[in-house]
Amino acid sequence: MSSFRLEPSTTGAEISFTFDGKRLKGRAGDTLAAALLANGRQLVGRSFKYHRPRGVLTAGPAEPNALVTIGSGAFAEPNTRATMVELYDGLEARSQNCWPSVDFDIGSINGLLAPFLGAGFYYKTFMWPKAFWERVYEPLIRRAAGLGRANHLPDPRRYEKTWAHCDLLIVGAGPAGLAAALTAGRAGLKVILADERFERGGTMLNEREEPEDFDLGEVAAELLSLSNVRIMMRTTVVAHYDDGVFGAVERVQKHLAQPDPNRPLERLWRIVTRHTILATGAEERPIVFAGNDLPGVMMAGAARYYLNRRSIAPGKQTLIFTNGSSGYALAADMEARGLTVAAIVDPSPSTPWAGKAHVIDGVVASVSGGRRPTSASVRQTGSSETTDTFAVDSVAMSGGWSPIIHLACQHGLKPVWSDEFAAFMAPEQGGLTVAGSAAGLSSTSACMIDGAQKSARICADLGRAISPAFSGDTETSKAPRPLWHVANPTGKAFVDFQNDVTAQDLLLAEQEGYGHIELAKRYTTNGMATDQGKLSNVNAIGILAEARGLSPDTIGTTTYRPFYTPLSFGALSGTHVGPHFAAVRRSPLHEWARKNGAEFVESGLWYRSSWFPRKGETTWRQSVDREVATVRASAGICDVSTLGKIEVSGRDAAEFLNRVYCNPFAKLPVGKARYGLMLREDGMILDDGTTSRLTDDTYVMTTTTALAGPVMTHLEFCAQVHWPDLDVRLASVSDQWAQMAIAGPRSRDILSEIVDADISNEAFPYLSARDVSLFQGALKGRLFRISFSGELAFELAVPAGFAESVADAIMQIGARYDICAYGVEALNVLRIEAGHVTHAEINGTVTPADLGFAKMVSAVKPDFIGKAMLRREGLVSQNRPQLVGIKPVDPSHVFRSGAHILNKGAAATLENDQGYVTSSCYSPHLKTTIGLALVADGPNRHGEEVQIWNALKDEYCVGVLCSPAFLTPDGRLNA
Amino acid sequence: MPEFALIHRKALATARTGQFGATPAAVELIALPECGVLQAMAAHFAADSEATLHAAFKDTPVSIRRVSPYQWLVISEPNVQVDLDSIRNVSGTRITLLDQSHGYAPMQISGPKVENMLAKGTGVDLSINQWPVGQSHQTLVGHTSALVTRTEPTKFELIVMRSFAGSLWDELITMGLEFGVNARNG
Repeated sequence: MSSFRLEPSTTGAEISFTFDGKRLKGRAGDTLAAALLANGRQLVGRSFKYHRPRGVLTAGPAEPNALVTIGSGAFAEPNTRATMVELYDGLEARSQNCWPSVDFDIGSINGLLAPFLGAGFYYKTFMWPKAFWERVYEPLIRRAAGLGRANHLPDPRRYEKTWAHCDLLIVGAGPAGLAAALTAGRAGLKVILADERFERGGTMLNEREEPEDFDLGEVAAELLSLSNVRIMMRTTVVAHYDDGVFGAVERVQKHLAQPDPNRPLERLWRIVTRHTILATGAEERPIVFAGNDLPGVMMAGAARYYLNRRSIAPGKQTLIFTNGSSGYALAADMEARGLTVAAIVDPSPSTPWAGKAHVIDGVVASVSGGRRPTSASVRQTGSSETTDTFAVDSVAMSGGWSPIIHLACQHGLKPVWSDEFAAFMAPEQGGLTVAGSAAGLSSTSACMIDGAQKSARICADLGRAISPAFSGDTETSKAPRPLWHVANPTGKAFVDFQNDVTAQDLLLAEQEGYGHIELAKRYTTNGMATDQGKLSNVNAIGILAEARGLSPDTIGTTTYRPFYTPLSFGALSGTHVGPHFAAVRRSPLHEWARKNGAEFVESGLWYRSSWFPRKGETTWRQSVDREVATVRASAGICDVSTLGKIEVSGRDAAEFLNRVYCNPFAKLPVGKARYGLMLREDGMILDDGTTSRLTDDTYVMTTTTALAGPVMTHLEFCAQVHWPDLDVRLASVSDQWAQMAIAGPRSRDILSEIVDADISNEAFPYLSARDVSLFQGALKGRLFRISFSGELAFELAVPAGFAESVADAIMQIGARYDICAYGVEALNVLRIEAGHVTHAEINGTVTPADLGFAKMVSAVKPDFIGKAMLRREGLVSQNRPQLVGIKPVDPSHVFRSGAHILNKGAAATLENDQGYVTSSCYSPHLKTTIGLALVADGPNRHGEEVQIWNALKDEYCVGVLCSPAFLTPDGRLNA
Repeated sequence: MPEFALIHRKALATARTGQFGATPAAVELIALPECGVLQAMAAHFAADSEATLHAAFKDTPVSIRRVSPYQWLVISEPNVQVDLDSIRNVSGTRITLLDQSHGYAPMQISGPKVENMLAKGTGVDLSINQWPVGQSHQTLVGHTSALVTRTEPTKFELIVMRSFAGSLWDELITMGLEFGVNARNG
């Protein structure tokens, strides 16, 4: 007989769900596991390695067996613990790791091979030939073993992250947690009480009756009435970080058939607390005996939950194997409901028992059956043979209790073994108190009193003295001697259910020199997988301790790390997915660019206009070629607002700039701009840009778009750490000023119509930089005579809110000169033609000399950032890759950035590598592809023929090295 | 010279407005008129610079908000004229004042659920006893750094760099979906 629901049932409205496509009925308030058990569905999954039939073992988060996939398609969620899933109407569950079905699984043939599949089997067997491991063995093994499969579809549901702050975080809403919350709540502390279950009560939910002085309903009602107490159910506290920060996952809507689209499915909480009480309870330990993994073998406490809370009987003939009182409590509950307990088997019987069932002083040697138990053999204490055999349909086991102390051990502190409690206990630490059964107590009232008293102590410490909500004696009974495993098993006795690790595997690991707990874990895979050994770790430690004749204290535990239970990537990423992965920055000229037809390109956080297609242009190249030609022939306007703008002021601004740039800045006159190179400490170029002196002690620095933030950070670091004695004040004005480049031979003609001052070459020569008045005094802006294209050019900065109006005006005036808007693609072509560098060249490997700027580096300044390291031998070697221009010998040939340079006739090997192309484009001016490259000793090789080789694209072209200034051979700007 | 109309364009001119998420909306999100923003900076070794700053603005109706050590934002209503020259006469060279009125965009969120909503973006404790009315924090709100000021028990003003304004606006709407957001221009 399988598990079944006792009638009359008083357990909620009927709910319909499916398991492997079969329609079943459950009750409101059931977990999926409960509903499956109520339907007699005990076989729910197949094990990882041997594909053994497995059933529901627990009623909580530690469940290793009943892992199912919920939902389908993009909504499918594999490896979900059926014991934690709340049933809802229409829920769709599927079994995993089986084919063709969970009832008939071909993979179970692995079980026949079991004698060969012990610990270390893979490592020993699949050694040869070596190349087969990655290509053949591992993929095959991975296919045969495993759990649920992830789908590759984007998850359409919403997730989010949020913060909460409190005085006291209480983890666990069982008797200890509730009593602690009530005490602290009455004291007026800001309390968060979190519990992963959907019902308050913890292990009280397993009980037939509540203790006399503890009315769960009343306690809950009072807690709910307190505005300073926040109760967070369905919330698993999964991580303990530094400084009292905890991570928790709330299953906001996972239990709902029709989730509200305005709310997330799950929510990740970061909870900041002054003090924490772990009232996390204790985990009941399985007993390691032959056949302990058959569906129908269940933890005694779980059987009590299903029976007392959900009216589900484990079977009609239940054998109870217990080491301590838990099994007796189950026996009493079962007999009270008229169910038959075949026998209670107890290796150290000391619990008083007045029920009908016969108590046997002994152990269960084995449980046999196919997909459910049919018989159990019992060995009495002192006997080496089976003494009794029982016909059974279900078995409940209890090996004792292990406090759940995970969150207390995530900071590198190790659990401490206690002989008194026969368990690993939480290490002591500031700011964290362990209460109730997590602290080794067993009775409900002891836990309650412990929680209340410890909470009252914390309240007093935080200045809110109060008497505990419950008081009395918390003395507890001594734990029975632990039973780690039944010796001489007559079949497979599982320690780790999820990973199919047996007691034999652990003993083998010990024999083969992998007895250290961390090694044994990796050798056998005990404690791995999604349950991380919640049920198996302590038994494994006990077995290894016994094998080595040591105390579990000496063996120690493996390392505890976040997270306590698995959590979804969705919860970790929250709302920051897809296009919301990062913030978006928009230029003040974004709308202007859009109305002028711009195509945009992502550039860091920015969206920059990349080209402006006109009617009849079908490819981007047509637009870009036209834009480049227009700029060279008349004029163009380009949004350069995304470049970083930093205002540097203060009495020592000049000295400061002189130290951060490698070239001189101290004597830059007011009203002038200068190109500057900023080095890193290691001598490589950090960034370049122009800096202009607007007044005696005010400068405005421009940085590249990509390094606006890093340069600001660098400057702040220099000001605050290197030279705290300098009076220098730094402000980003990138967002205050919109900036546009107006380039081309007609740029002055256009600008002189809106700039009030004289901007003739005499009045406003190359590298002038001044505040200007615009539109006859209507607006103030800043004008710079700088060029990135080789043409006569200006950059005009105006307050961002007026940018669109000013750009419109320039377009309107410029129409007479055939002005065009141009984007970053044309900008790039113009600068490559002019031989100007960007971060394609300033790639972190180049010094000023590498880019032909050797003469800029000051030889007289006492110091500047990067000066010392710039003298390193390797940085002054002649053979360094240095900037050159490159073009194909046959102008119709094409190459692209990233291609490598080889000497003529040299084989394509790493040793023969001469450098690489950093930038390339089609030059409408030269009617061929051109590029910039970093080539060994490049400046001395102009005119040399080379091979341009791109292995990734399988492209090859004969090129010639040349000056990087494609327009003016002497390299001077065409100003 | 042709005539040109100089039109001031708000950073949030094209931001989404209307009702989002749950109804009725429990949160109001407003793109405030762009106000006067002065960035004030003092040398880090300057003593009592904050007092100097307050003295300089003694007669001007502004709100002075701390951004970081030795840095403040001085906020004035859009119609308030700030006479920078006379203020500089008081603050002298000890304090640098930069007009950043175009560099920042102000917005406001209000309503009974405003703490729960902002908690999705910032790790700062939003409870009123930890964050009283009038206090400002420069903090991340989601992806974006903003200067957040509690102006009333259930009202916060956020001042954000102009280029990030649209992005923060969208993120605030997402944060508020479960409470319902009425987003509008103010």
